[in-house]
Amino acid sequence: MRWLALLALCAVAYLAYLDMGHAMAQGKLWVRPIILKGEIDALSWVRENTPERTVFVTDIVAGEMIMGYTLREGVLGGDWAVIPNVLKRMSDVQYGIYNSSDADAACAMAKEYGAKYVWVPERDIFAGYEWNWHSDVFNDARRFRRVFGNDDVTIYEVM
Amino acid sequence: MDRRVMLLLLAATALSVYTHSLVFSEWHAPTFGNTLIHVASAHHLVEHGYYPLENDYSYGGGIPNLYVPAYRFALAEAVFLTGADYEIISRLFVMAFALLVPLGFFVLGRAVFGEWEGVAAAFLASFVSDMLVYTVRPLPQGLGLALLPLAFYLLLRGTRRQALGASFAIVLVNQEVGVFFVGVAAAFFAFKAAEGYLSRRSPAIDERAETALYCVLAGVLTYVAWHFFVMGNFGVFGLIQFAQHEGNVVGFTLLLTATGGAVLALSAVGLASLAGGLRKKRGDAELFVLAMVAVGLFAIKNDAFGIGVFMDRFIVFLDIGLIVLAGFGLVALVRVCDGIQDRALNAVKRQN
Repeated sequence: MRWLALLALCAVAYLAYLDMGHAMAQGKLWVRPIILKGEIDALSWVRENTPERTVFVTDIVAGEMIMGYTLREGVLGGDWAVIPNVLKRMSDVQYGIYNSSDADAACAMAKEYGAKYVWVPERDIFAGYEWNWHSDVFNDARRFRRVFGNDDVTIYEVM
Repeated sequence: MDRRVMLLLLAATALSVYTHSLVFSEWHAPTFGNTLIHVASAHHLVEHGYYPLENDYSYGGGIPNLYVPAYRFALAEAVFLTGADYEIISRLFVMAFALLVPLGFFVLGRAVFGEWEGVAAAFLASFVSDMLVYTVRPLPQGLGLALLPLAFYLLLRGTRRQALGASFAIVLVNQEVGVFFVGVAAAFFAFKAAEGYLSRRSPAIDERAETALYCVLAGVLTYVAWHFFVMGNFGVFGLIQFAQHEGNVVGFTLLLTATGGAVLALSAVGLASLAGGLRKKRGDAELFVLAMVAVGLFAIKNDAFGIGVFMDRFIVFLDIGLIVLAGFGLVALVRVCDGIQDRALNAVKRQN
């Protein structure tokens, strides 16, 4: 190999170096776990206190965590390919429950989807439309009874 | 194998392992992209001894489990055999992808163009952002992408039985991977048939083209059979992804960001070299690479054909063909540079 080829290889190597930097930066974004450590810890309570297939109001990420690790179900989360009215479901959970200001309506909505509990993490939630923080509608003890809590998540029973 | 090629292949594999070690950089395995939904089916299989076909855990449960099952079975088997937890096994799956990706590209690149082109492709695969994004997460797409180069190798060089086995298996790993494999097989068959007819070859459709056609049939039948088995109907296009046209439009900027400048530039060099007749030996290899690139281009622009699903997700599939072409382009570039320098030196000597 001669110097001209070596020069060409150096140019390619430089391009490749830039590309790899970009690839690693993108990779780092996609390997973030999103869920909080306390949410994993809370799964012990779920396993000890609920039967399999119990339904929780969750955002997409928590729903998938719950289904994967405990064999319970989230109102959101999973393969949406054949879910009837899935967009309405996502909207209902995002705006009708997590971002609701009406505890009675939020409770009724949770029951409509067969949920016995609500999973309220201390992070932005994503129910299909946007990332945002939950409202404080779950503080209404008439409708939502706190059954578990740690720094990262609170679980409420739907009354 | 040339010893230098072997050493470079080891280096390419080490590079892939390094980039994929990102999967261990956080306190928990990645959850983006629905990684844990596959854990649910595997978990159920391990706990209860049967696959939850009729009652998926998704979106409150009660619906059939349509996603193709091979990855979930593999995950369940790994957990069952080792006793390790799903999170650790998931991360180790990613390290398996890290090994398969460069080795797969080497095997395919070598079959298509040669050893040096193969090892170049093995290296270049690590510089494609989308390839890392999909294979650094424990997903069926990651497994499928890691296996696709090997499946294509079997389609191009394997026996008919091996090619059919690859078609059957790859379709059951991930739907997008299956669609791309079947699409490339169909395009390869079409190109081979056209070449045969135009060159008045007898028979026009040779054995390799026939194998490709059978792979298309095997792949389609496998998926349709799975869909019918789970759903009880043939409505394969009745999925939300089609109804909602899930996907983003692909422009050149997105393609460049996802693929990287090195692979894009070198694949252009490779294409120009092929067109310029740089490669003396012509055969199925060129048609196969063109089939991969053509189907990839169709897939990323499928909105222009009225489909409008997963255009951006198919960039990484186009990249498979581009990586192989780029491997050829890199070696061609070196040879052309050597040739130019030799001619220049000889010209100077003649003058003197």
